[in-house]
Amino acid sequence: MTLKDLNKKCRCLAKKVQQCTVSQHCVGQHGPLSETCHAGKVKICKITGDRKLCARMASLGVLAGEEAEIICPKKGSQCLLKIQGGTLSLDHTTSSNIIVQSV
Amino acid sequence: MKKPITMALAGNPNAGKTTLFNELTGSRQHVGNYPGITVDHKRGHFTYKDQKVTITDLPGTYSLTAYSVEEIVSRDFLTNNRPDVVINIVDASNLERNLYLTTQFLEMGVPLIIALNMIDVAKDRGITVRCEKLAELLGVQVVPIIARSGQGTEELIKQAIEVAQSEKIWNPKDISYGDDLDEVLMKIVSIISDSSFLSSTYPPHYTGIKYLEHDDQILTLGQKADPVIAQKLEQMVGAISDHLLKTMEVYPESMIADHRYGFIKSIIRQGVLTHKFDIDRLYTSDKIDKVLTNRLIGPVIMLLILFGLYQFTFSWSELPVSWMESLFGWMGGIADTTLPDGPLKSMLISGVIDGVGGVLGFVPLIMFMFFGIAILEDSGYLARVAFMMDRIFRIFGLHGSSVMPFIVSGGIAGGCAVPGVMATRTLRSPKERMATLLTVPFMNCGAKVPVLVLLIGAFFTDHQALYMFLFTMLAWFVALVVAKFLRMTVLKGEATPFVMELPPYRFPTLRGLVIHTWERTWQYIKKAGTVILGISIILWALMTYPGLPESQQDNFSAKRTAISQSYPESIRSELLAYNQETGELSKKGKQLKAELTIIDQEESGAGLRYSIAGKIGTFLEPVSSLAGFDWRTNIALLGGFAAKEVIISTLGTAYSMGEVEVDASDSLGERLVRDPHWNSVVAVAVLIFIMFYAPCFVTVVCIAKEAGSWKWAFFSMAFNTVFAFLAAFLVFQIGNLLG
Amino acid sequence: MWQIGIVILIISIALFFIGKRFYRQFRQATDPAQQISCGCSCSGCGEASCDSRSIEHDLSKKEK
Repeated sequence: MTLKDLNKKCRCLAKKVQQCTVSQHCVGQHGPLSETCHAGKVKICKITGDRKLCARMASLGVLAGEEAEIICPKKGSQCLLKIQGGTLSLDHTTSSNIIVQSV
Repeated sequence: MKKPITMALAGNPNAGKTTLFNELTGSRQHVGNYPGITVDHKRGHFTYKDQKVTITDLPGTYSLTAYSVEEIVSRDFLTNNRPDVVINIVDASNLERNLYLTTQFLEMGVPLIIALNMIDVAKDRGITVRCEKLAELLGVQVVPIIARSGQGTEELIKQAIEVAQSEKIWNPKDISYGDDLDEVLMKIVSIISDSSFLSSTYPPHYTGIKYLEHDDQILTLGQKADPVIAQKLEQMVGAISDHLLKTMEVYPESMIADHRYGFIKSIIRQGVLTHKFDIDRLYTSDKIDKVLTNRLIGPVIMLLILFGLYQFTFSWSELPVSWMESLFGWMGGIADTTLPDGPLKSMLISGVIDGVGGVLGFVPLIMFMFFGIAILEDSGYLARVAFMMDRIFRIFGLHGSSVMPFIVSGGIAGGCAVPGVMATRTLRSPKERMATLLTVPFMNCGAKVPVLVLLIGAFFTDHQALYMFLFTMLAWFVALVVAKFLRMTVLKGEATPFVMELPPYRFPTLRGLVIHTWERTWQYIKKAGTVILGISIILWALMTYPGLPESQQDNFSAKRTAISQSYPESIRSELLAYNQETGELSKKGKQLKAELTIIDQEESGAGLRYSIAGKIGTFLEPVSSLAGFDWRTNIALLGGFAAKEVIISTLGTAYSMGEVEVDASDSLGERLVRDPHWNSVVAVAVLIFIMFYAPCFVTVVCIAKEAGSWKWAFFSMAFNTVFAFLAAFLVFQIGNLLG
Repeated sequence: MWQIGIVILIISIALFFIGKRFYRQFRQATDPAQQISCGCSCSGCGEASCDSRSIEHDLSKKEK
């Protein structure tokens, strides 16, 4: 099996992700990560903000559709987010641009 | 001899590149458990079975786009230097995140081998990686290693050399980015291939992806190389970007990243990774973070740890420091009795032993302090400090990435402003970078620490750790206030976002701690024995010559004769016998000796004042006395511009040359306490001036280099000195008013 | 007299050594061709190439 075939196989996953980018697919309570004031799992719905930020977030694996865990909720300030196996520290500007939905 | 091979070490921050680099080259590059320690690439050499290898340690990056300086440095190195093989270090305990960079190497088509590091950490977390399966799916060799212990490194080098010597052609891997993007990419690649657009630097497929990712650096290069083609490509990319934004509210680069992660997941799900425990459970590291980075308890714990560090340093080093003092006192005594009187003796005692000895006397303290900092650093706690400080920094107009340069410069104590200034390269916003660059020299670097310890130890004996803690806090406070001032005036600008990956906590190894402590302590000793020794000798000469004019020397001789004449002959011969160590002194004899000593000291004091350095110090005294500094302190402060350690060595020399009641075994601290010019208010004023005045020569040069102009270097010197003087002036005047 | 001779010699060596060091630092930092480092830091030379040596023996020992 070539890499491309492998990649195609996982496209269903990518589709699922893309669906979530449209906000109406994010049902239930959702809002910016900076406003989420409880520890626990969240699903990322959308990344707003400028192009650079979106790209930087994407390269760190903060993508719509991904599940993440808030380790240190700090309403209105930075927070620790466990995603893709790593722990990210995000400041207020960044976390207010990440729209999440609690799981 | 075979043709030398070039290798590059690349990987995510904190994946263990520098550890492996040190393991392979036997060098002692600094390794810390926090991201962003390597900003430049570093080169080393080693030989494996007659094969010469040049290896380059690249800065840690998450991707190869032009988002940060580290990424640009790494990418430029790979494209410009084209190493024979790239060793991609992958952290086995965090495979998904690490393989993201791997996919980009595959897209780039560089000769690759994967070093699967930290398999022991992964095992502890219940993670098993099937290397053969991973190698098969990615099409590159995978070698499991533990860089910290060196396990598997020989196999890695053997295989890396094989890859470098093989004739295999490395084509860029084709990864699907979704139908829309794949279609455009195919068109773009064919245009690039047909016109050989940028083909000397990058493979067409890679250039295509970078265009889709809107990579600033490649777009600029493209515009320069062929504006027509570049325009055409940009239009195509613009159209697909608009389409994606309208239909899916995403930019192409997010879509590409999404598919790369999808690709990684598809590989991992094919049995590459097995988890023994529940995937969702929080690791110990996360649990510790819940407490240590807690909004309320976190900062309190941070301050307690910092205070604990100083308490530990002062209480444990007290005895060895006193041993060192006695050692140098004893050496001074030996030199005094064995050497014949003359300039050489004066240079050895006042210049070398009192000067350099004063700096070397603090070696035990520095060692304990570095040991404590090494524990904080190796365990990963410093990264949490950066995280917690980010919020405070933001208030003062600095960036989260400014925290590390501050700590490197001596934020906790014992750093160096030069690497601190260089570490500001991680900041992308020029204004935030400049504000950081200009304020990092306020931290208490390894050279200022002994001065602080000396004065705190002499004037605030009872609460040394507390005062050290307070002065450290003061350094941060002043640096932040000045940064805020700069950001509100000359460096106005918007704040930029801060995102950092926190490394997991690791238990420091004793070997690592010992190496860290020793390498820093050794650098301190080496500097004291070379630069500080040289400067001390020059300053001794400046403090000795031209020497008193003959008429004044005759005056003192006459005074001595007059005093001797006032005593009976028997007492004079008693003193002569005492000086030849053949007799005891009576009460009268002691009195005569004391009176003569006073004349000797007056003469040496007058000589010092008459010397070149003394004249400069005296010239500045009318101004400096407003802040409580006498002319001798002025000499030390001027010397401090060459290197801050010189302040101690010069004070040592100045106070051993012109002291009223000299006793060779007295420490500098004791001499200062006895001096009528010094008291605790003067000590605080001097301390404040030393903490904040012009950075040392090397730092100034470095600021000029990093800021790109001498204007900022001169600004830093002038601004800091004026600010420090005003602060010292206020402290001295208010302190005196309050009594 | 001999002491003065030795002292002059030592001072000249110290002047030469410090002058050379600072001059090198200054030149390294002002050399536009040198993009990477801004000279040696106060804690010594940061370039790994200053400290390269063979690991042949280390490696073979370790694997045994």
